Amino acid sequence: MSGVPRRGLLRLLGAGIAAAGLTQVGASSVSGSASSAPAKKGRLRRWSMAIDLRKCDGCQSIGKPPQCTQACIEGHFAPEPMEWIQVYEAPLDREGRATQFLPTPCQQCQNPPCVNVCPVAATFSTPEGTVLIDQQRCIGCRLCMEACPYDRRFFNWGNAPIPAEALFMEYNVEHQSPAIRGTVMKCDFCPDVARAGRVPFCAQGCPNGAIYYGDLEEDLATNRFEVVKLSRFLADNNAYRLKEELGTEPRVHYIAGHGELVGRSATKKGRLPTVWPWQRLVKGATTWKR
Amino acid sequence: MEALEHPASNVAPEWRANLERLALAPLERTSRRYLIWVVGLLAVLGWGLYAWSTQLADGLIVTGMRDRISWGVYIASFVFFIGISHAGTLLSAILRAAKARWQLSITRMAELITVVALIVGALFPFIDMGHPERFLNLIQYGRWQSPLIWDILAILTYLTGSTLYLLLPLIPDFALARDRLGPGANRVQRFLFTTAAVGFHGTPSQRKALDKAMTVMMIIIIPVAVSVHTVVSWIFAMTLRVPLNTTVFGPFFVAGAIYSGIAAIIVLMAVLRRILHLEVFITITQFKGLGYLLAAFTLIMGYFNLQEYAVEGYKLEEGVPFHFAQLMTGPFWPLFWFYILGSIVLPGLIILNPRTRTIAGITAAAALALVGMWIERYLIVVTGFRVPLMPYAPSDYTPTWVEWSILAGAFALFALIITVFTKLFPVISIWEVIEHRGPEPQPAAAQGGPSRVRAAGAVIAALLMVAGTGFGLFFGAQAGADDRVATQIAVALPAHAAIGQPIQGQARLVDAKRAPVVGATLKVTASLGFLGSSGRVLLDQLVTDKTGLVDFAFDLETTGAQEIRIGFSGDDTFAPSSALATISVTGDEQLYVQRAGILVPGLNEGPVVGRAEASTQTGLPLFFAQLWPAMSGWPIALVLIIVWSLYGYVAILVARISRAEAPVRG
Repeated sequence: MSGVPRRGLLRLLGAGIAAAGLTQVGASSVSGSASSAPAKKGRLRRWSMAIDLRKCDGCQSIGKPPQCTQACIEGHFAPEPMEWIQVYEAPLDREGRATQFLPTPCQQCQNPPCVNVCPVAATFSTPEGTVLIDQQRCIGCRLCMEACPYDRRFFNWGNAPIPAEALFMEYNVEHQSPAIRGTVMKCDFCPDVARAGRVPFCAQGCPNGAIYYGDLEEDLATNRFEVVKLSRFLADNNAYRLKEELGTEPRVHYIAGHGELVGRSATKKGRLPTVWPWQRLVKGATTWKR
Repeated sequence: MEALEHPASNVAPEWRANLERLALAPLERTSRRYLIWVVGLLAVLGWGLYAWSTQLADGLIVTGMRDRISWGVYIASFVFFIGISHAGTLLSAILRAAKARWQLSITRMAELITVVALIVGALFPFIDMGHPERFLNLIQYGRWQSPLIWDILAILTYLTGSTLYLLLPLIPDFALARDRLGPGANRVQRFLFTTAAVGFHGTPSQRKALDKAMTVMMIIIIPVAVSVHTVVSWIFAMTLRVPLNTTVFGPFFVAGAIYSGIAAIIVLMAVLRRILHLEVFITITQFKGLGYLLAAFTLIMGYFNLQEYAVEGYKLEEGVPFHFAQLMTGPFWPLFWFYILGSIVLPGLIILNPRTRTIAGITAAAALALVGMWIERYLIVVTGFRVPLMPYAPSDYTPTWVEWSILAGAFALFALIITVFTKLFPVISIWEVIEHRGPEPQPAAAQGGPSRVRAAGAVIAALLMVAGTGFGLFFGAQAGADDRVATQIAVALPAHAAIGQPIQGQARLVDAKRAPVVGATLKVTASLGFLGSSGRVLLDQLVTDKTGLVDFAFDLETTGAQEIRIGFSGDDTFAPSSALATISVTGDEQLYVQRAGILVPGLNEGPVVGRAEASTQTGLPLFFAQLWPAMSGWPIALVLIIVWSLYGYVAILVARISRAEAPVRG
């Protein structure tokens, strides 16, 4: 256990608590701020996200790979090459002279096409509105990967490189670790982390505070630096959702931009590749290209 | 079916003897070439099984499939084999319903292709699964809303129906084999034939029951076959991906299935004809009949391709230009143009040209169509998945040796089952040929073909057409220290509010002389905390009118005493000021109601649901509780109940045959 990093240890403790309820799908209530006790009655959290692209420069200014992705990987022990929140570089014009960075977690659709098609209800919508996957039930048919219009689902094609400490974790649908070969994984929107009173790993990692994590029920969101009234924040900034026309009703909102609030020029292209910082890997691990 | 009299009067005795001898010959003698062929097939099947064992040991990483192109050869082959299975339905049901007779000598081969193709095809989704050992989850947790469950139900129903429809016309032939087998026949065959003949002796009551059973199956198998391939297309069409979410997929897949099915029968017919020396019974008549059907379907396939590419290509919706480019000029151009020109246009031309309308020509056309249809399935899966969904470079997919080996193994299994079948059962429906056809002179038979084809075409066209959503007052003052004019704000705000309730208030910005300040921006904020962070949250922002008034409105979702601050940040003339008001917010009802999404009973409905709490039942009661369909499952359940009860009726008829008294023999 000496090699377990601090974050991993916290995770292990968290996993121990969750283990009492088997692979329980947790739900937290709105009672004051940042309550960690799940109540049987009361108002349920409706987790949501707003990503302010005006503040996202793909971590060009700090000369590091996108820190949201890195924090997610380290927090979740996400197997290589999975980027549950992936920072795409999208062209802003036809010629691709100007670009924007687009951090894309699972969109947590309220009309999720992936949940519709799952033959065994291994992927499901929680009362809090997040879409989770039970890898212990998943049969690996990948129908959900075909159904997802955002390319946000990942398959464990082989035994992916994960840190050895991931193997000490007790499996839970809310953190999906350790990874099970032949099953589908994706961003779980960190409801367990939020229940513990913190913003998800990606929002913790973002140096610019571009990722706001919020609750539609209490109508508040935070990026660690400020608290905003979510509905007003979205309306004031002309927020949009990806592929709105598909009717998937995502819980992730975007505010258009290309990093101008943090000083990025739209024509400065490129971001550093994501790294999986595992010092020790489980035996027999193989990696692949997405 | 009319006149089921046995024996038929219009058959010359020596022709009949020849038919029986040739059709039963493979059952009695086994050649060395047959054994070499079986060993060869077993070797290929063994190699395929080895490849599969590699995949089971190392995971799907041994395949060329990855996250972006997550389906490949396996699913393409699944669609292909299920398509081939339409062969039997077409010949033995549609043509039989149209009262065509020229196909009677090949109906059994067609039905055989159906059953074997379904068995082999159904293996592919299983091979493609990341956890094939969890297949029982499909029964335990199966959801009526999943296209994969529809597939399983439809294929299972079709397989059962086709097996029944293969076995029913075999009953009289089993009886014949039982009665005619020489001493060369082994004990296994003898036991098999005696059991399978279910005590059939050709008595009028038995013939009537058999006739009825076959009529029921003939009618029910057609909608079942159409449903199977429609449902197979829905695993693609039910998605939100650009080249796949087209409404034409259902009928397009059914047409493609029938097209490849016809081609498969022609190829198998040509092979068995030569190997089993059936030249007398399978003549140019059957080849021409099926050839015309194939030619008709080249036109239907051409029409569906026009529908697909003209309608999508005219609008050029996002993703379509990329898709068209990859198919027509990009990496897939050889496959795409082979499919269009080599397997639709060319076979049609071969058959329409009288000089190439020979057995060899028609067989070549069918072989082209068969290869082209596998390529089409491959293109649908691979190019459909290759269109980028997000800003990333398109992925590529190259099948690995494991995938090719498993595919080869599947084809070997397909051939092996057919090979073994030819050893156990007569490949020609002897009694039907005797009763309905007789040794017709060939030119006359050739004339009968096309008219029947037209009748059958009309039936198919008709079927295709069928197949087709506040008050208390508070005053706060703050004086400026600079040389700017001091201001103060007066606020009117209710003392209590419920969560989510619109809260209306007024504020007035005045200067030191109590004159209104016009055109100043006032911000309404509250101090709130969320997930470890806290700060002033903007609730409303307004500009004062000529009386210095603002009417603000906001709502609060956080319970407790909330301090509301109305602030003026000051400008060049006026100093900043602010006022505070407290409002008590109460309530515990849920405000945000999810309007969309799927709630799975027992899994995610209700406030706190865990899997452990969800199932108080265990074992068999749980199993039946899971089987009970949800509301959305009832239409499917209803259809299944109708089809399966008809199958049950057929089973009862078979039982009636077996219980009928045998005629007294001298």
